[in-house]
Parts: sequence; structure tokens; C-alpha cells
Amino acid sequence: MIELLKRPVAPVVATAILLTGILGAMVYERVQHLRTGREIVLPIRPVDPRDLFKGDYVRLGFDIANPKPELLAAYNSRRDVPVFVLIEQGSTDTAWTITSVTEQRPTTVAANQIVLSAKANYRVLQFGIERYYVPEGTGPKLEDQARSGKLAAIVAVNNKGKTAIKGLMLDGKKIYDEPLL
Amino acid sequence: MVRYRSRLEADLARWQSAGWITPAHTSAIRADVQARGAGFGLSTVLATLAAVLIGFAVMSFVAANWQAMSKFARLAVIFASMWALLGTGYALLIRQMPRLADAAFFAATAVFGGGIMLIAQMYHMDGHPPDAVWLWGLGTVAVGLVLRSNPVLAAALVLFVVWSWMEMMSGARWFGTVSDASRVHWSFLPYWAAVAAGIAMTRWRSGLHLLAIALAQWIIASGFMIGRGDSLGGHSTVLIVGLLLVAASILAGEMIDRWRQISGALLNYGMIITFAGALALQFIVDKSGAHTVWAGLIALAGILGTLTWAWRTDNRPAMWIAYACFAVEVFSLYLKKVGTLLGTSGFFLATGLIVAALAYAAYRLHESRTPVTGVAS
Repeated sequence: MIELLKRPVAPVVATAILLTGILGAMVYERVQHLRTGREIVLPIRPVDPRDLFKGDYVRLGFDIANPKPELLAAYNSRRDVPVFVLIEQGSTDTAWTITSVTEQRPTTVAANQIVLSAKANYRVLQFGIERYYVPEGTGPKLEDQARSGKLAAIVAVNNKGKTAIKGLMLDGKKIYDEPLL
Repeated sequence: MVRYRSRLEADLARWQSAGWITPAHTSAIRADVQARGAGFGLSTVLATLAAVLIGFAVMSFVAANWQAMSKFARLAVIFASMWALLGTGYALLIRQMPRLADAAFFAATAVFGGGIMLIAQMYHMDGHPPDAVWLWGLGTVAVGLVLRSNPVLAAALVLFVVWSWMEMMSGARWFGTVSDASRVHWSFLPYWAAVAAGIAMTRWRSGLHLLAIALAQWIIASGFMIGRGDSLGGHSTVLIVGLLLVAASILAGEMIDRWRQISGALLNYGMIITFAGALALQFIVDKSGAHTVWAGLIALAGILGTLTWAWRTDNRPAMWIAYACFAVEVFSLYLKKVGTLLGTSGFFLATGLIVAALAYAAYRLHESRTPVTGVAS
């Protein structure tokens, strides 16, 4: 029982430090990623907004999430395979296309290329940036903007290839560019 | 406690007037019960409800995703609430109010969970949802162990069970082409063990039941994980595990009771596990019905045998479990049919006559043992 604690100061303080530490580590890790990761801009393909008890969020779709079938042929019957996706920048800043999908990290990366880490699930790639939380009630408007084709995501990529959303751009202008803290 | 006391008062008055105890005895008994302390005070119940409400307040706050406050401010609210609740818990502890302190610490772990969700939302983290629940459970079990708080340990167990179910139901595990043995969610066990260590430290008997329920459901679920629910091997293993527990209780019951008084509970949980395995084998694996008759007979015989043992060891819960198993087994046989409806009718008639004969035999045995005299036995 809790009465067994003769001097509760130390355990309670330890508890506070532990819980604060875990939450703090989550925040720190994410802020570091957003601050130091290389920024790329990916156009958003529309998907459905959904309500959850965690608040409104919109599901974001990306061209690079649906690669040509032959690139994912090796992973067709497997689920949740960790892969590295090499993408190359095309004629415009936001025209990224997939060069290769491999389980080994590519060793040669050109200046206009970048490696992202993802999970291959049958025919789809999941990068961990498919979810954007919006203030209550603003989901549908964002979905319309995505449908009109002008929405893009500012994504930070860290040196392990992991991606995180930094903000959203509409028509080339930042609309949601959140402060890190 | 209040009900027990009022019943005790009535009994004491009756015994005293019958001359079996003296007024001195009465006051001594009363004083002893008083000293034992209260069970659940109303304040504890209310405090727990308050903790639940606070938990929901936090969840709604997170869900609102209130942009008017900066990320830092929203985080600050979470941290401040957490520290305030921990501080309140400490203050209650040193004022000798341990139950209320438990409620405060419980609320603090709820806010911790809210904090995880807030951070995931603020930074648009789209990870593997079970991981968030796992992390929440991890923090909670650590708090429960450090503070020796039973409600917190119970909450941690619930979180790990939920996490386990999320992992078991996840597409990759259920549909993936992995071996049967690896489909079972073995990772649940170390976390169950951590909570078990905490409950063992505090010697909380109800907690032992929670642990048993959690482990039993994991065993039964694992039987379904193997072969996606349709495996002879999987359900047979569950059946055998259950039988081992029942056997341990019957054969080594006294020895076990000398260590800890759990042979009765061992029988009960063993029965439930065995029956779950038997039910799955009879009605899910045996689709053709080729084995319905003998499997059904064995199942019913097993239930009757356990019922008899339960009666002999005066294990009331076991008898109720046996009744429940009997009802489920009979109804399932009825639904599945023993061949044809006529066949089913014959089956039930035959077994009914056999059990009636057993009842008569039991009656004669009882008669021959207790001579009918005027003294109540």
C-alpha cells in the first residue's frame, strides 16, 4: 500500500522527474528534428478529414506515397516493411519523384536527391506525415484547399531520413508555420 | 464497512441477550473493529470520480487544440497540472490520507497520458498508435512501483492490456505472413510481470485477481492468435495450460495454500482457461462436427467433476463458474446440434439421465455418511 512509504518526498519527486522527463524527451527530440532537418516541400494530394477524440485532423496524401507499382514489387505481399526511399527533385522545387525503394540505405545521394525512411505496406508507402492536426472545425476548409491542388507541406528530414511536418503552404505562401515551442 | 458494522451490532446484541458473550466482550469486539479502520470512505469514492473528471478535462483540452495558446503554454498547463497533482498527493500522504493520495497520483498519470497525446498532436506525429498507449503504461507502472500505489498499478495493467489488444489487432500482426509462434504477443508478459512485482510488493489481494484476469485473457487470446483462431495446436495449448492449473490446484492444493492462499483461485482461473480452450476446439476447430459427441461428453464430465471438487473444497466461486460453463456448453451443443435435432435430443436425454443417476448416488452417499439424528450437522 501507499502507506508503506516512510518518507514520501524522494519517491514523489522521482515520479515528477520521471514523467516530466519522458514528456520532455518527446518534445526535445521533435524540436531538434524540426530545427535541424533539411527542409523539402511536398505537394499534398487530398484525402478525407476525420474526427477523433484527439481532435480534428486531416489525412494528407502525397504523390510519393503512391509510387509506380514496379518500384514496390518486392514488398507486395509484406506489411510494414521499413524501407529507404530515394527521391529526386525535378524541374520545380516541389516536383519530387521516386528514384528507388530499397531496404538498404542508398550510399550515393546526389545534390538534388534526398533519402526518406518509410514503411512499405502492400502498394503504399507511409512516411509518418500523413496526419495534420487542425484547430476544431477548420478541417473541411483545408480539405477543399487540398482538392484545388494548391496545398503543400513543409517537411523536415533528419539525417536518419525520418520526416516531420513543419508547416503548410498554400500557393507558395506559408499558411500554417508553427513556432517550434 | 458501514454495512458490516451495522450487521455486527445486531449480531452482538443478539449474542449478548442469548448469554453467549458478556458486555465486556461486546465492547472489546466493537473497539477492535473500530481500530481496524474504515474500508472505503465516501471521500475516497468521490475523490476517484474527481480524478476521472479531471482526466476527461485534460483529454478535451488536448482535443480542442486551442491555437490561442502557444505550444509552450499548452505544455506548461500539462506540466503544471501534473506537478500540482503529484504535490497534492504528497500533501495528502503526510496528512495520513493515503486513499485520497492514491486518487491524486492516479489523476497525475491520467494527465501524463494526456501530455503524450498533446505532444503527438502538437507536432503532427503519425506514429504507430499502440506505441503511445505503451509509453503511457510505462510511465504509469513506474509511478505505481515507485509510490507503491495500487490504483496506479491497476491503471498500468489496464493500459498494458489495451496496448496488447491494439498490437494483436494490428494489421501487420494479424495478416502478415509470420510464423504462428511469433504472432502471439509475447511482449505483453514482461510488462505484466512488472505490474505483478508491484502488486506482490503491496500484497494487494484484489490486485492478484486483476493480474489473473489479465493473464488468463492473454492466454486465451494467444490461442486465437495462433493460426488466426482456427488452430488445433493453439487452442489445445490453451486447454492444456488450463488443465495444468486445475491439476495443480487439485493435486497440490494444500501445499500451495501453505505458501499463499491461492489454490481456490488457481482452480477457478484454470477452469475458465480450460473451458475457453475446450469451447474453441469444439465449436470453432471441429467444423465438421465429427467429434461433437465424445468432445461434448468429456466437456460435460469435466465440468461435473470440477463442480464436485468445488463442492468438496467449499469453493463457492468455482461452483458458480462451473454452472456458467455448464450452461454455455449445453447451449452451444444445442446450437451446433449433435448430428440432427433428434440426435441432439437423444444426447441431452442420455446425459440428463446419467446426471440424474449421479445425483441419486450423491444423495445415497450423503445419507450413509450423516446419520439422521436430532443434532444439526
